Amino acid sequence: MNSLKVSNLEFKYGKVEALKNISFEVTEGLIGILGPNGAGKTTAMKLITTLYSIQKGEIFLNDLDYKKDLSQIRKMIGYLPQDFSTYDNIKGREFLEIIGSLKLDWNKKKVVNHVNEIINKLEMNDYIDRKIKEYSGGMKQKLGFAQVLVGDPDLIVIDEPTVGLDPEQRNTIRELFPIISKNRIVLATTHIVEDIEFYCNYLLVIKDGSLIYEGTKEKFIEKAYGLVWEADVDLDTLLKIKTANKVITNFRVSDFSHIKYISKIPLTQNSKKADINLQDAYIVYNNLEGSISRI
Amino acid sequence: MKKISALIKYEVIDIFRGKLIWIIFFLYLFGVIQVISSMKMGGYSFFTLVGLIKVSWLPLNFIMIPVMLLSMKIGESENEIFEILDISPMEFIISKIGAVSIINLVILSINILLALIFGIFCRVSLGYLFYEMTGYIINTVIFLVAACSVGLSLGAVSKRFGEVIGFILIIIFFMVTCNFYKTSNNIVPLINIRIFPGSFDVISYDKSYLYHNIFWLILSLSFLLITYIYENFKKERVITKVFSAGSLIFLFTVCICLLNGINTNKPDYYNITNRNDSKNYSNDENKAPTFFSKENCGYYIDKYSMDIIINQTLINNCEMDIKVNKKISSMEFGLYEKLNISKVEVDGNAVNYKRTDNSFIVSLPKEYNSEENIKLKVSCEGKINTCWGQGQQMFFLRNNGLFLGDVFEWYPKLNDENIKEYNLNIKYSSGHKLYSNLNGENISGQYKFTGKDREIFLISGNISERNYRNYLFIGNEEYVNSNSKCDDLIKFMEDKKLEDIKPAVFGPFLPGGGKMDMPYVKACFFADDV
Repeated sequence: MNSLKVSNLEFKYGKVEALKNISFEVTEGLIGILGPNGAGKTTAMKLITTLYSIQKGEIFLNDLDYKKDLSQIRKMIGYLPQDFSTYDNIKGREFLEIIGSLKLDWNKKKVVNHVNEIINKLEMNDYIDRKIKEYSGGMKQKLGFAQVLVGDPDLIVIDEPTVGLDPEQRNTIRELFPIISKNRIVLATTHIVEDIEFYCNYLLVIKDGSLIYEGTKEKFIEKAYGLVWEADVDLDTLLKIKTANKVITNFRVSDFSHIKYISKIPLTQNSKKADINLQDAYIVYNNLEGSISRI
Repeated sequence: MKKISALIKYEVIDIFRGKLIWIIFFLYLFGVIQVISSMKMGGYSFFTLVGLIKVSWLPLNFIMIPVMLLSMKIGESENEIFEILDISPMEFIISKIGAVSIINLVILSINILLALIFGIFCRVSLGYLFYEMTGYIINTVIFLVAACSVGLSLGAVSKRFGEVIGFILIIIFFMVTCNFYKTSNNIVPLINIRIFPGSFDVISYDKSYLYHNIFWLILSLSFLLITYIYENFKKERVITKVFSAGSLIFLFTVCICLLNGINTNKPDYYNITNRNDSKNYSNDENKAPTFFSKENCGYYIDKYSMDIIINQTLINNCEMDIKVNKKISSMEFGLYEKLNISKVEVDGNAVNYKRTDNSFIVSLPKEYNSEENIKLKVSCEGKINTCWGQGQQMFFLRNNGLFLGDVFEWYPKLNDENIKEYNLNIKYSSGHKLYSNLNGENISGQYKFTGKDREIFLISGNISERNYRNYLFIGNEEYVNSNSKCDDLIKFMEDKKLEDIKPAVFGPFLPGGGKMDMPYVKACFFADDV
């Protein structure tokens, strides 16, 4: 069983603290790392992918120490950065083979076979021999997923995988998560909750450089339950609620609105506890500072 | 090595499928067309290898900016995915240099192929081809290495400060180092072709040329090292940092020494363009470029005996029989200012002399009257390396060649129109044969030239001789082997009633030739393109 252990990780950009004493341990499966922009997700990813050197704290991948076994660890990691790009004139297959040659100490034939397996697995045969400049955004991102699989890594790190894609392309990419997360750890950072809503089973939530939640998705939602209310309100009431509280959804129905809002207590007589999803829970985290400690 | 190969492949695939490579190709082709056009003069074409080499900077200058842009693109190339693949900074930079080298090899091969085609088309000998192409290849390599190293370095700059800054720096580098509007003997332009006037030769293989090229090689290496240090200094171990910084200081020190060497060995500007105009020279503000004796100065030289040793310097022990035709107490002779006089004797006694710009004045121990003879001995020694308009090589002296023209004061002379008798013993041990307007013989590097003429010239280098229509033609192989060129020269000599001249030398151009009286009427004709 693959495992990633992070202990007391801290990182500073000059005097600015980007990560504050983060510790967690995860095993195989899709692990979502949620947090608003600037929370420290990408910094954490760059430390885990070895792009940044550890300033303070420890990271172990399958008991290998990042400070001592860097070379070995790098062979075990696949990384898809947020702004994945490559030369446009190269073909997808050529790119994957180059990654294979860079990552693996195998002969050319073995690399070619391995790349073919990945292409088949991700169903990219139709366009893999085209130049990348002819790819759509989704195809390009799929190529990014293909390259992380080269060398069959134990840990895959994916940073904001669906940014800039249209809804259809997003769905295509999301469907790749169960394929790539089989028998390995996949860390996917995102601020778009839908990306991980269906396939993620473990969550890490970072805010202001601190890890504020580590656990299952269900528990995360459960802890936010009771803080989201739903009610039918007229326009005046809606405006009153909006001034002091976060309204998550607002459906206008003839002369009243059906709203979902965040509050520790009900604000109207007809308010009732709402059924919430991961998205709602995440908004609660970002809007109710006081409730975070409760969670 | 496998990683480096993969990274090179990654860069090269993109380059060869990109648009920039086609732009380079078409610009190069345009440059070649311009080169060929430059050989069509006066209504007919005369294709020569030296003609190609003379303007070989043209296609290279045309492709300079796109080559640098291409290198800059490779230099700024980075991919986070590659960074976690355990590739060392050194492997990264080697792969970038490797990718650029492949492009360079292609350009170099095409350039060599072009010269070979010209060589075959012009039917030059292998020795000649090798001699001429050595400089051509060196120039191309230096150009590519320097342009690409600077381009790679600017890639690092543009990564940090933006591509616009990179583009601006490329334009500045091009403006400073291109050959379009200047020729020089210093570090610029990048392609050092100090051509010889006319058809004699193309590239001056001298110390200045050597230092120029080593300078650019080392500077290119320094640029790469600076880039490496700039990008990886924080990541490196202390010992590597110290070694890199030490290497950089060493390279810069060598560059400074080379700059000094270039400066020391660069040719002196020697203007003889308006030589005949200088006869009535009266402006004291400028140095007289040449020396002319005053008319009816009271003495003339009847006979010369010279013992000359030629290697890097000229050592001349010159003895002159001078006839006096008017009462005199001093004499003035022309002598190039860089030739240092060590001894002047009149009738066996040392006498005082005064050096001027390109002459010296001998104070005679007594007054000499008409009909008296004077035996004057002058020993002098010095280096000769001159250029004139647009930095073209003019009179020079080297191990591998020399040109000491008759119009030039390379021995004590009056530049008058009298015919003198000459007896020269010259020790010259170059692999090339030495030619003169005088009759001569060579016994194992010891040349003996005798005869009568107004002045003497000596010429040696990568030149050939050919007998054609009862004339002996001496000069650049491609010129002497061209029937049309030889026919033109014969026609010219016949038109000028100079049929008695049998050895004809295709030598460096004589500036102001149209205005000059005809030299070498006794022995040789000395001509440029006619």
